[in-house]
Amino acid sequence: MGKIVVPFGSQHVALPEPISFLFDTENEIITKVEAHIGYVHRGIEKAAITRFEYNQLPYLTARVCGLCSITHAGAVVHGIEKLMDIEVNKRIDYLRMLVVELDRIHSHMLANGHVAEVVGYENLFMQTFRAREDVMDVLERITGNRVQYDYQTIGGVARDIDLETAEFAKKKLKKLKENVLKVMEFHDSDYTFGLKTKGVGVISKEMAAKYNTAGPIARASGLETDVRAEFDYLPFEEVGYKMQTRKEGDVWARNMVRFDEVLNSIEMCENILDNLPQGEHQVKVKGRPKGETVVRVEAPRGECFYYLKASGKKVMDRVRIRVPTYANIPILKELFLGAKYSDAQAIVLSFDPCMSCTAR
Amino acid sequence: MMINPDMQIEEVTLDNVVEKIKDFYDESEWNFITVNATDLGGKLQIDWLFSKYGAKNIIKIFRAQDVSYDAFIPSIVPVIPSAWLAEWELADLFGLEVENAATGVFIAPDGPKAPLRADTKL
Amino acid sequence: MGFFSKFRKKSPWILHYNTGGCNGCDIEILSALAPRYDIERFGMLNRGNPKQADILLVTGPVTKNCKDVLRRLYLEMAEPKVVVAMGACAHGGGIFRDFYHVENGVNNIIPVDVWIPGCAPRVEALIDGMVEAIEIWQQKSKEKEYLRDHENIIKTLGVEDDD
Repeated sequence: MGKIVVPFGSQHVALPEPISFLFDTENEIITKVEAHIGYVHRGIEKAAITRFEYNQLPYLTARVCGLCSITHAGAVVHGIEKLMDIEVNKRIDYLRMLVVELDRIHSHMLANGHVAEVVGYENLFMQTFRAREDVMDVLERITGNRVQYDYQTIGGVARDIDLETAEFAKKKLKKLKENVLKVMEFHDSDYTFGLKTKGVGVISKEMAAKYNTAGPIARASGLETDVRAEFDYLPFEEVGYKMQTRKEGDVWARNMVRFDEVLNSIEMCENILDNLPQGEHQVKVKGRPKGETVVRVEAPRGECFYYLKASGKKVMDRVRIRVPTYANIPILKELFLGAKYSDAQAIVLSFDPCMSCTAR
Repeated sequence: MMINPDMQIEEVTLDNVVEKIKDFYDESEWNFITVNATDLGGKLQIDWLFSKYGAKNIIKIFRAQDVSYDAFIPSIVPVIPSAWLAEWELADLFGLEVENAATGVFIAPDGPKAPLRADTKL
Repeated sequence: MGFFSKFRKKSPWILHYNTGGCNGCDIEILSALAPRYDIERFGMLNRGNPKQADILLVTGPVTKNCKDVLRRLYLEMAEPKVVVAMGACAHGGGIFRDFYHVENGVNNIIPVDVWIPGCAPRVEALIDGMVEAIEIWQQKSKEKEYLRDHENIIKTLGVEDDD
């Protein structure tokens, strides 16, 4: 058989975002990959040091990515608070943690539903998304918007939570947990779903370490890395955070790790809502950021890294963003070699790629 | 909760950075984060950043100071195979000459050249 | 109105393309396909083929890398076609206005019929916009304006010498 070149993207029904691959295939087996990841490059890093002042940065970086907007805004806020020497109170920490975890739940549900759709289970996609709407309701009630929250501000959060909302959230989370367990059981036991996902796109632990993968992709291969455990930015251990790992490293394991994390996050959210400390939701802020610092936060897809440098002016000197998908692109490219073309969609989407993060 | 990263900065030069990273890097112990360049007005500061698995708040930084715009940046891809993307980004966004790097990953053919340099007004 | 257009308005197919937004709008489009909002009530399906699509749903401020793809998708769609621009950044760039790699909105590349404001727009707003788009589509289909205006459109798109 001769060589056939198959393009995948930038516009494709399975892809919500533009990324393009050019596969060279022989007998349906991929032999060479060319990736173009820069479709979404807008120039946010330049704008962050020329157009926007430091207190506007959380709103700009939230627009790096809609799915993990809360982690981007959060990372900048943590960094600038460090540079301005602001210590926030416990209630703010807990409220931030609550929204970060809820965001993780909705992002993971979206990713898993999407994988289900591309392996041919439209019904499972629908069920996952139906369950996901519960957490969207909670987020909307707490922050005021469904997608772009703009919840974290320098020195606090945008609005406080009242008792009624907390009760509402607890009720919804309970319902969500039941639904997640149902969908998870299906993932665990269904035979044909297993045929499409088990043993597909396997990453071994050594490979994951060699290519410095991040997030659920690394944890599905048994590599124990999670920024929530490695970097103190919010008190996750206090509310019952546990690292979730699997051994298999295939598409199925990546989905299951995400489900495990959803369950862990639901538990954490319930703990937060039960033990919310008293206090103000904003603290006084004065001064300007000065110095340099690094911030690592755990976005739903893995480690999100910020390097911030300021010299006491209104505009920062450098804002460098490195996002989880950026770290996972090299291994994604390796993984295609030798895989079947029919599995390519499932492999791409099991990485939960976020191109607007990657290209910024 | 205020973050307090433990930044261990080690000064290097462009000539010895590959050797230093080769001696230091152990893939089961250290996680390569990225290569970052900062424009300090005409001179660049280039950082190679690493974090430690299973430890708290440890960031190891190899820092090359006073790098000029026409310097030749050596590639660390033989040591760390996933570093190519970060290096290509340096070539694209700062217009630097990086070993084995392709351009055009992010910037379109009709886009500006080296947009992140301080003297590029946009 | 021809025989087929009578039924076509009951099932307008969507072609969705993200031109460099933050993907907040795109996940709202996915939610719109899901049971809570269920855009399929209006016969709308998200299909990836421009040749079969009636409505082009564009999000994002149009980056320099994306503009040629967007223009090509628009030209590949069969007439009559409606373009819906979703989100604040599709309207002249939004927060990304005048960034070095951004073309400041969908309107600078292809003509837009329906605008859905918001960052990110609610799903109800999206559905509202799509219903509006169907009406415009019907109107276009009756008037057959695209036949008279063809030369002009090609000139504004800047594709005279394009095969």
